[in-house]
Amino acid sequence: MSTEQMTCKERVLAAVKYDDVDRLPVFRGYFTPTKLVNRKLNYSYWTDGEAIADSCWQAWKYFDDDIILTLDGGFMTEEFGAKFKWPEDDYPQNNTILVKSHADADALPDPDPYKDPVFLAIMKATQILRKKAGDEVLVGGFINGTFNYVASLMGAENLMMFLATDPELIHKVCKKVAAAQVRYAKAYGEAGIELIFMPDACSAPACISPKTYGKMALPYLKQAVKGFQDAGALAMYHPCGGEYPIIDQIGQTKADIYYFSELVDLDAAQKIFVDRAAVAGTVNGSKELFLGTTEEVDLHVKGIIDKLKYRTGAIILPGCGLSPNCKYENVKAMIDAVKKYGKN
Amino acid sequence: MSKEAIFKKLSEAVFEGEDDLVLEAAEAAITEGVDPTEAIIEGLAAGMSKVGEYYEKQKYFLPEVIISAETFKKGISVLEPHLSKDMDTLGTVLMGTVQGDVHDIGKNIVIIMLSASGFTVIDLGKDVKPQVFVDKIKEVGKIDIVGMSALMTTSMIGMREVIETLKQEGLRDKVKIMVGGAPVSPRYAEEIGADGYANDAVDGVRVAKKLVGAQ
Repeated sequence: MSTEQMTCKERVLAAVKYDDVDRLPVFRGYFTPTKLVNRKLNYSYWTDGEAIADSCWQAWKYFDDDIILTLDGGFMTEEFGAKFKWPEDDYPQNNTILVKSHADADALPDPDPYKDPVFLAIMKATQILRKKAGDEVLVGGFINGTFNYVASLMGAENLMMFLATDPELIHKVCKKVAAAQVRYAKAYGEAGIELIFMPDACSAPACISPKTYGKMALPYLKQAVKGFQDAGALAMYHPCGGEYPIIDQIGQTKADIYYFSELVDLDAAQKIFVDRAAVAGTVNGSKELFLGTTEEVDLHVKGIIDKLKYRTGAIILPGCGLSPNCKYENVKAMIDAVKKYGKN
Repeated sequence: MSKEAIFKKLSEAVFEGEDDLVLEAAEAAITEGVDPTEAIIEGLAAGMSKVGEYYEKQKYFLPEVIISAETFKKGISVLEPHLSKDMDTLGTVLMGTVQGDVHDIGKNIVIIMLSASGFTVIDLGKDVKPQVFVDKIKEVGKIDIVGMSALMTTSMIGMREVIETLKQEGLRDKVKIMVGGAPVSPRYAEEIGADGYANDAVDGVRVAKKLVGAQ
């Protein structure tokens, strides 16, 4: 098959099923520089659906990769009652601790996606993007992982402490969060979302043991993934941080795509998940992409692709979210390298 | 109870995260006239050191480390009032998560391990502006190491700003600089002119000891 015979959407959908592709799909991941549309990453942007759609569209045109992804803007957490700090040009930050006891957990509200100003803007952006994209490219969105939200609500350190001292409290908060994730996914589905990206660093082995992961996090991650799929979206799960010790368990989430950090060998992951789920990621975002040259990025991506046993079932993207200050030419070099070395 | 038995009990209590046991053993140390400095080093710190080893080998994870650290602090709270003089310190470390980043769990674990290893640590907290590092160094007078953490590639660029601010204020050559955090790499540390890079909390202790010439 010669190169570029498929649309971006056809390519990604075929790769997920391990069908033939003209080349491996490539994607920037969590990187949509608003500078491309002269906007700052502030509250005004996050509540402006047209601006979000415009920035995502322009970024896709500029980088010419295979998926469009709207970012999250911290939705849901504020609807639980947290108060964000909204920087003038950066991602929102949460400094609120809402849950320290069972009474606090019982008092948590049930966030309504249709009353969440940031999510409403992102749904509007999704609708606009779907109309523009047609069948050419998948439009994806973001819902954080269950433990990431729990850490936002109670503080990461409290989450870790209560996992050891009061696991029932963690279950209580996880249940609230997982139900909210499913509600948000359903609303996303009504807006036409086609892929939901779920990163969950706080349940990864960099934080908790594989045993704790299986007992405390996995049941809720499974529920979230099912909710995404029931909403009509592909589920892309990113267990961010030292993933190998749980690689035997993450398959139980039944996600469509497992997105790994640079700590995992994409070829090994592909052999593990072949014909069950696509694997993605592993381009080093803080080394080659952030600090390196275009030549180093090219070589690094070639190395990842050369080791793959199957020229499908894999999507190349940065191992984690990229800094907005990442050099555009390096991101382009990653995309160009996949187009060069990933063709069939 | 013999001195050795008290040390063993303190160490095991910290390792297992047993608050009642650590309080009991610390009280016994005071009652039996054991040198509190020795009880901290041979008992509590030895327990945290074992926790560090287990963390490095992925036998312990953050929940276990945090529970052990809480037990360690409880033991210290009993022994500290009985210290006849300040314990010898390996050096003073000024720690902070750089501006724009509110993720501080990694930094807090490093602080626990450094404190348990004999360093005096001043914690500036999270989302720390470069000038705050400078002001604290001027206020304290003698800082051996400035430690900075960041969890995001968006915020790690703040480390360079801290180093530049230290240079402008004429303080850069008076301190050693150690950096760490998920997106930070040895290459980045070198590029911004840091003196050391730590891969995790246990490595942080090794690097800090090396920077002050204690290893």
